[in-house]
Amino acid sequence: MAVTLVLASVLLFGILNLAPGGPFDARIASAHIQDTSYLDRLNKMIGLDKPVHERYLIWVSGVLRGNLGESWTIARGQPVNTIIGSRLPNTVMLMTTGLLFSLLIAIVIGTISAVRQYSLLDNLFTAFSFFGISIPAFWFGLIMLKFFGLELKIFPVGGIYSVGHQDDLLDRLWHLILPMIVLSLLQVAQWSRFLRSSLLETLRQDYIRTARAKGQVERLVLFRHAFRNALIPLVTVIALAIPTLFGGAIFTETIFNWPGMGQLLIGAVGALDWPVAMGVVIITAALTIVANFVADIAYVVVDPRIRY
Amino acid sequence: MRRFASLGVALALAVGTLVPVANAQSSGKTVVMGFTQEPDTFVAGEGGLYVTAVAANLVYSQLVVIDDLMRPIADLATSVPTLDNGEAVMVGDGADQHLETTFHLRQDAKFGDGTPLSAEDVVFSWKLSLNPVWGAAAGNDLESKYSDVVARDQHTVLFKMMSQNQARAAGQSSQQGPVIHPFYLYGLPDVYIYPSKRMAPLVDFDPQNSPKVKDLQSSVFSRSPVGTGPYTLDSWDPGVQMVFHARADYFRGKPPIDTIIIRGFEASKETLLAQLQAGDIQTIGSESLDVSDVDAVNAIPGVKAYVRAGTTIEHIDFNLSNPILADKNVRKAMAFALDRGDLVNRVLSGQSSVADSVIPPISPLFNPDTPKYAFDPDQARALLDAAGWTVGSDGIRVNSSGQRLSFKYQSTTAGIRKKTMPLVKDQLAAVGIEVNIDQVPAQTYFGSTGPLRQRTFDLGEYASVGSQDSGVDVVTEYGSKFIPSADNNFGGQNYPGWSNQSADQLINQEANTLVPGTRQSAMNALQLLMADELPTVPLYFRPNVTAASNRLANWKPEYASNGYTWNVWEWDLR
Repeated sequence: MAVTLVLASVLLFGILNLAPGGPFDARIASAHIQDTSYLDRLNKMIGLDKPVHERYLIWVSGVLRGNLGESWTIARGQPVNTIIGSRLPNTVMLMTTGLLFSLLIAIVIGTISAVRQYSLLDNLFTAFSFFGISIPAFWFGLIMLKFFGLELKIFPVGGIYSVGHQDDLLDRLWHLILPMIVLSLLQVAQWSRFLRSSLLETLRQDYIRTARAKGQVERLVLFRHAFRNALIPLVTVIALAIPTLFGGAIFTETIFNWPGMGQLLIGAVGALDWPVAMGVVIITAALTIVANFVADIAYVVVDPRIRY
Repeated sequence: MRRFASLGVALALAVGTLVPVANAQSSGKTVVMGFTQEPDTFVAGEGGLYVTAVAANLVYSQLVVIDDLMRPIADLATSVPTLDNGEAVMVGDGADQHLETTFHLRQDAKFGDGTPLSAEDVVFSWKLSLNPVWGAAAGNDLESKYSDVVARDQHTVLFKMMSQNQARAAGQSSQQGPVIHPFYLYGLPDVYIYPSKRMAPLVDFDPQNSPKVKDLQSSVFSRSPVGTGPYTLDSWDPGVQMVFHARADYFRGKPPIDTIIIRGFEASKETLLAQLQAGDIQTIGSESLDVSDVDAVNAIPGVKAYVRAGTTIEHIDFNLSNPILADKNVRKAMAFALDRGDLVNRVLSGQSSVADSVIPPISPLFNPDTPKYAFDPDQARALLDAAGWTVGSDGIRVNSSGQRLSFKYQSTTAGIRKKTMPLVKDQLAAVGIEVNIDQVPAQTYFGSTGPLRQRTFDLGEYASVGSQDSGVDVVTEYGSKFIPSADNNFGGQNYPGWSNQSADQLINQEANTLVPGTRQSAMNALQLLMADELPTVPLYFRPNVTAASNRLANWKPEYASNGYTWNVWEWDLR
């Protein structure tokens, strides 16, 4: 795990630093600055005068001490820890509610689709799933904003709270609903299909037939015997979604003007703010590795047949 | 299913009860501005992000600012000091002669913490700008041209520009005569006036040399600035909003708008337009909009798009180190082959105008008699024929040695260029000139290893953003000393590599006097020379586009570089 993380960090640091130019190059070029040592001065200030490997070691030693460095451009001079700290709660709130909402809806849709296979409802859900998987989040987000925000005026047009309602929990929840729905669309579509096929397969197993033969009520057959087994593959899928809880969703956050980690990353990359971009990316990378590990363990817990 | 239906009803009810809560508005006159980028810092933010300058106008004042028509107006100074009104004078003789400018400060100006503004604050801010670790990039290095800035009394500051002797002692061995700069009447353009009493202890009372100046960027002042401007920043929720309140003790009187909120950081432009339509925000700035948005903005009831030609000129530089482009007639042929009016119509929906000079008409140094290259493909063909380029079998011209008239045509990936470049390609192809378009990211294009600074381009398109004084701009753009090379650390902006003795003389003449008439005649001649020599061909003005609610009075975004909030103190809601 540690090796993977080190390799990931070297790779990410290398890729970002391979990009030509520095954060101040374009700024200098567009201004009428006659003092050419000025760029060197700015670059020196953020340590860009040192060779790449040295910068990497400085960065790693900082990370090991829990210090992700200082922002170069998007919030000049501010600690990356503070910047990420201000964005993380927003992302966690959006992604957690999105995940739970998706899970709830996906289980309902997946179950109904499996139990009533090829019924009208199942066909409708299938159509919905293709819609959900195919539609791009940025387009769907804009349509939702336009329809519910501008036409029907029942939801706010982006943002995290209304003017003057910083401490209003209900206002924040109201702002959460649209991005949460947009975010959930893809997950619901994917997970419900996943659960449907898994449940269908389980329902064909011998032990289900045995349960029915015992005279067990259908509802109990479904929930006590089939459902629990059908959920096992879903555990992996959900565990792998955990890093996104912290990494955020770039498109949804940008469209809904949601100040989370995805929006932060896109802003940092656009402004060549490598310390911030590295901070976001390395946290996501670490969480992905941890989530994989958690998924493996969870698998053993929920499925006694698996032994490592 | 019934259970889920009731869940849906409960959710709908919950939402229904939330709506009225969130629609409640706070009292007083409030304007919400939409940004697509977040300001970075209020300390050392000078010369950095445009949005930072726009936000900083609310908090900081300057000695003299520039208005919507590029005229200097007194801000913290009681008047604009000029050679004419005697507040700027040449002092001393011979190699010791130098320019001294006196600024009288307003006695009613106070910082946000109630401390009165004093001459010491101006001196402190000047010294801070000279600190070698300071991260602020002023758009010019005027501050380094002063030998000293002195507080005469509490409300009088004397700026002394370097004499020839002082400049030479400071390493500028080629300095002839006293150092002068047309920005002298601004004192410290682009430098915020900081509260010295509060900040000096943080830098060991030595703003010019203390290494602690670097730490100011992470200090409380970078997020809670204290300035003499019309507003105070009361809260900054990172990524979400900044809330500013009007100051009752502002020297021009309390601004009519009580609260200004800046929101939408990193939002997409589409989201901001939707918020403008919903009435959530009242303005969108030129950093977010372009001419393609004009129709969408004007379609929103109660909102208007403001399209202003401004000082930003899109142009194509010819790399004069290319032997083919070194032929003036080839360059002229290209200028005649370009239908720039068509570019304005098709790229900018007719919302701008063709540029005929590198100096914008809004500048007092513009020469209206600069010859225009009207679209004339026949003239272009005749020039190319005369220069020995005949049309080859594939329609592209070749010379006697079989060389094709073909160039690499580079620029950034900006949307406006994706539209312009193919049109230019077609227009040039019509007279037998082939160009191969190469678009690279802006950071690469303008970067130190990019095609412009390394001068590896043939045709290079980009925009020049004019400063307060076009005469200052031409020095680094067309003076032969500013051809980027290893000698000057690839620092100049004379990307064409134009080295012309007459031009250098005119630029020197213009740069070494502050007498408006002399500067004007030198610049008039330079514009005529450039139209003939054509190191670059101006295409069109890139207008700055802003959007504001019709209720907002005194929105004056004509000249963009000062930030459209330059007159925020007089904004009002109708």
